[in-house]
Amino acid sequence: MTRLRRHLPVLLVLCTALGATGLLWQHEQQITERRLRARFDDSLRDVASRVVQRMSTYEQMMRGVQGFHAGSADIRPQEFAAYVSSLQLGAEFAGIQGIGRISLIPTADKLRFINTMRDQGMPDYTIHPPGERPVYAPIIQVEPYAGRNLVALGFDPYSDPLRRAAMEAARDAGIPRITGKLRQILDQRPEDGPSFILYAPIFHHGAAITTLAERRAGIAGWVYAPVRLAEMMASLYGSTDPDIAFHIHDGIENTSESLLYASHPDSQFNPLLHGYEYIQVGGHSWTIEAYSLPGFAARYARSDANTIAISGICLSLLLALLTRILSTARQMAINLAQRMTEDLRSSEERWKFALEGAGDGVWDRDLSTDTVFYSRRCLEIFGYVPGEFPPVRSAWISRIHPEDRAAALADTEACINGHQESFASEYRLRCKDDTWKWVLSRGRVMHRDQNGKALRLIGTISDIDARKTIEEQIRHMAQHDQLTNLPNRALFADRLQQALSLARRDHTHLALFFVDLDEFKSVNDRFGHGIGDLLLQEVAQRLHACLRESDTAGRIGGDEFVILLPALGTMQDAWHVAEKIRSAMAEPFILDRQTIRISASIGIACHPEHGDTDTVLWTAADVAMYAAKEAGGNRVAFSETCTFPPVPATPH
Amino acid sequence: MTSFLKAVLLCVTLSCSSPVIAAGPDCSRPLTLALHEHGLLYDSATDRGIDRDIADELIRRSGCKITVTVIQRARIWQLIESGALDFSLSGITNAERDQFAGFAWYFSNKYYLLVRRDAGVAGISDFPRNSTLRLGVIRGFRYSKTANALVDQLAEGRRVSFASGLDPLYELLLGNRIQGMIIEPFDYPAAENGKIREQSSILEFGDDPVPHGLIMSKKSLSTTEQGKWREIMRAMREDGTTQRIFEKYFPAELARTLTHFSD
Repeated sequence: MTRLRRHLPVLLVLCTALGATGLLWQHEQQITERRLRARFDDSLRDVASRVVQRMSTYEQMMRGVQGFHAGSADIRPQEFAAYVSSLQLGAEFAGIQGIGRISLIPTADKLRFINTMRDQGMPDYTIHPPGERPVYAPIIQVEPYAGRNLVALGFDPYSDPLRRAAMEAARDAGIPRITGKLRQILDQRPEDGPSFILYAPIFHHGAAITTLAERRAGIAGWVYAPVRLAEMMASLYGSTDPDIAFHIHDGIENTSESLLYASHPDSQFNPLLHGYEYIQVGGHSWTIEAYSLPGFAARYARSDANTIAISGICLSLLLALLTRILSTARQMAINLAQRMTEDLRSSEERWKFALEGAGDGVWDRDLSTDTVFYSRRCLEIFGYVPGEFPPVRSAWISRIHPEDRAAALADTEACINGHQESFASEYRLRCKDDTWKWVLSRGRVMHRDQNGKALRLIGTISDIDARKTIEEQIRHMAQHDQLTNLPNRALFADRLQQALSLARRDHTHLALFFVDLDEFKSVNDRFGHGIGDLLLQEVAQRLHACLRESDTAGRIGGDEFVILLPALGTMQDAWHVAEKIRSAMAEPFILDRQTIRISASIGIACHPEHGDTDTVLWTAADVAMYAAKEAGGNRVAFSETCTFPPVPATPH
Repeated sequence: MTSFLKAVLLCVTLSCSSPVIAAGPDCSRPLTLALHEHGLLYDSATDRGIDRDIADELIRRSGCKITVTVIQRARIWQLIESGALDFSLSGITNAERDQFAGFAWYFSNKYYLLVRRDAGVAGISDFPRNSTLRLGVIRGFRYSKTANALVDQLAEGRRVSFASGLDPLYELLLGNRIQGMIIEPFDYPAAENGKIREQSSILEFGDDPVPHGLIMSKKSLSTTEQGKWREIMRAMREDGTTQRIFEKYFPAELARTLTHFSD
C-alpha cells in the first residue's frame, strides 16, 4: 500500500501522458482517415463526372448525326462516309468503334431492299440473322468501312431483344439511348471486353415527331455507335488515380453479369475504402464502384499518428521519470525533515527532561510582542498551572519582590542591550498564595535582527528557596550563639561598627553594655551544665525583653553578654536600660522546678563620651563591668571616664 | 376601330414586356446556359420542362444568343464557379455559392423526404436514428435547412448514396439500396408513379420554402450585367409569365404558391 502510494504520482503522470498521447493519436488517425476518405470520394466523383461528360459528348455526336439526317431526305452512302470522316473520331470519341446506319424495313420490302443493297456494290449483302420477322432493321452502312466493321453489314439488331429495347427507347424519346452490357456481333475477341451501343432515331424527312405516337409512326431507322468500355475509360481526360480500382456496372446491381468495366480485373479486393456513385447515361443507370488498392493508403496515409505515438510515449516516459526524480527528491526531503524533526524533538525532550528533571522551568520571551512562554514547571514553581498565568512580561515583573526588582530588571536589560552575553538574577517572587520564594532567573538572547536588536530571550527559572534558607541558616549560625540565638561576637562587632559609623555621621549617641552574670560558675557546679545552659537561654530572653527593637544583645563568652543601644538620647537613658536589665536578672529563675538566684554586673561605655572607636568603647565597657563586679556585683557601672552624675547605689 | 385598338394594346403590351430593348444585357458574345435533368424542371427525353421554358423566355426577352446544354448538376456548379458557364436555372444559394454566383429568384418551394414504407420512418427524426437506413441524394444538390442538416449528418456516418440524377435514385429506392430520398414538387409525377407510390410515403421537412433562381456566374458576368438579368426575371414574374409557365406543369393553385413569394 505504501509502495503504491509512493509510486502513485508517477503512475498518474504516466497514465495521463499516455492517455493524452492516445487521444492525440486517435485524433490524428481520424483526420488521416477523413483525408483519405475525402481523397477517395473526390476520385470517385471525378471519375463519375468524367464518364458522364464523355457520354454526353457521345450523345452530342449522335445528335449531330441525327441532325445530318434530318437535314436531307435521302442521304447517300458517300455523304454519310464523308460526314463521319469529318467528325475525326479522335481521342474525345475514343471507344467508338464506328458509326453506322440502320434502316427500318417492313417484311414486304425485304427482298427489294436486299436487291437494292446488292445493286449498290455489296453483292453479298443479306439480312442476318435469317428468318421471317414482322420488321427488319438491318445495318446498311458502317463507317469507317474497314476491318471488323465489315462484319456488321446486314446484321439486324432489332432481332436482338437487348438492342431492340434501346432502339425503341431512342425512338420513343427521340434522342440517343444506350443498350445494356453486350458483346457486339463484330467483337469476337474475349480481350476486347464488354461494350454498349448508342442508338439515335432517324425519322422520315418532314415527319412530325412531337408526340410519342408521331415518333413511333415517323421512325425511319437509326444511327448507331458501338462503344467499347475499356477504350472509352482509357481515354478519359485527366488521369485516374492508379491506386483506386474502378468498376462500372450496368444498372444499380454490382454483379459479375452487370460488370461493364474493371480497371483492375485481376485484383483481389480487400479494400480499406469502398464506395459507389450512381450516374444516369443514355437512359441507363450505371454504378461506378471504387476500391482503394493497398498503394492508396500507403500514398495518402502520410499520417503523423505514428510520430505522435512514438513521441508521445517517449515524452510520457520522460515525464514519468522526471516525476519519479522529483517525487524521490521530495520523499528524501520529507524523510530528512522527519529525521530532523525527530532529532529536534529528542533534543527538546532531553533538554526538557534535563531542565524539568533538575526542577527548572523554561521561559521564552518574544521581545517584539513582549509575550512570554512559561513551561509547566516554570509556573509550578510559584504555584500556578498552565493557562492560569497571563503570558505577559509585566505580570511576571509585578510579582518580583520590590527590593529585588530593580537589580533583576537591570541584569535583564544589560543582557538585552548586549553588555553581557547572559544574565543570572536571584530574586524573590510572590507565589500564588502570596508567600515569597527565592528563584534564580538565567537567560540569554537567542535572536537579534540585522541591527543587533534583541528579538528573543530564552532562559530558565530555578527554585532556590531551599538553598537560600540553608544559606541563611549557615549565615545565622556563623553569626549567632547557638545556645541563646543571640548575635555572637563577630556579628555584634559588625553591628557595633555600623552603629558607630551612623553615630559619627549623624552625631548621635550610642551605648555599649558589658553584662557578666555573677556566680554563674557556682550554678553550673551546683545544678549542672544543663541547668546552666537553660539559665543562659532564660537570661537571653530577659535581655531581649528589656530592649527596644533597634537594640542588639549578644553573647560573647560563657556568661558574658554585650548590649548595643544605638540612637541613644542621653546617658541617663542608658543607665535606665542597664538598671532594668540588672533588675530582670535579679529576679529568681525557675528552671526545672528549681529556683535559682543570680545577679548581673553591667559596665557601660558611651559614644562619644567614653570613646570614638569600637575598641576603645569595648575596653571601656569591659573595665566598667569589672569595676561593677569588683564593687560586689549586681550593679551597674559607667566607664570611669564618664562625666555624668554618679549612678545611684544599687541595693543588694 | 376595334382592330386598331387591339393593335395599339398589343404594342403597349409588347413594349411593357420587353424592357430589355431600352437597357438590355450585353449580347455581344454568345452566352451559355446549362440545364440539368430533374423531374418537371427538365426532361431530356422530351426536351421539355419548366427550366426549358424559362430559358426560352430569357432568350426571347434578352435577344441574346444563348447556347443551351444539359449537364449534370455537380458539374454545372463547377463550371459556374470557373466562369466557363454563364447561366443555369433553378439554383439555390448558400454561403459558398454566394462567393461565385449571383441569383435571380423565380420560384420557391419546400423539400420532402420520400421514404420507403417498410423503413419504419414516421417522422424525419426517425431516419437518422436507424443506422441501417441510407439516404440517396443528387450530387451537388443542396436543400432546405433541416434537409441539409439531415444530409450532412448522414454523410458524416457514410450513409448517403450519391447519384447524378433522380432516375438512379428511384431505382435504388425500389431496390431497397436506399430507404429515402429528398424530392421537390417537380418530382411528384415520378413519385406518384406506380411502384414508387406503392412502396413509399412522403414526409415534409417543415422548413420555409427555399427560393430558386437563375444562376449567374460572377466570374463571367459583371454586377451590372447580373442586375440586367435580374430585371428580366423580375419582369417575367411581375407580368405573370413565370406563373403561366408553371401552370403548364402544375395545378394553378400550386403554380401560384410556387411562384408567389417574397424575395
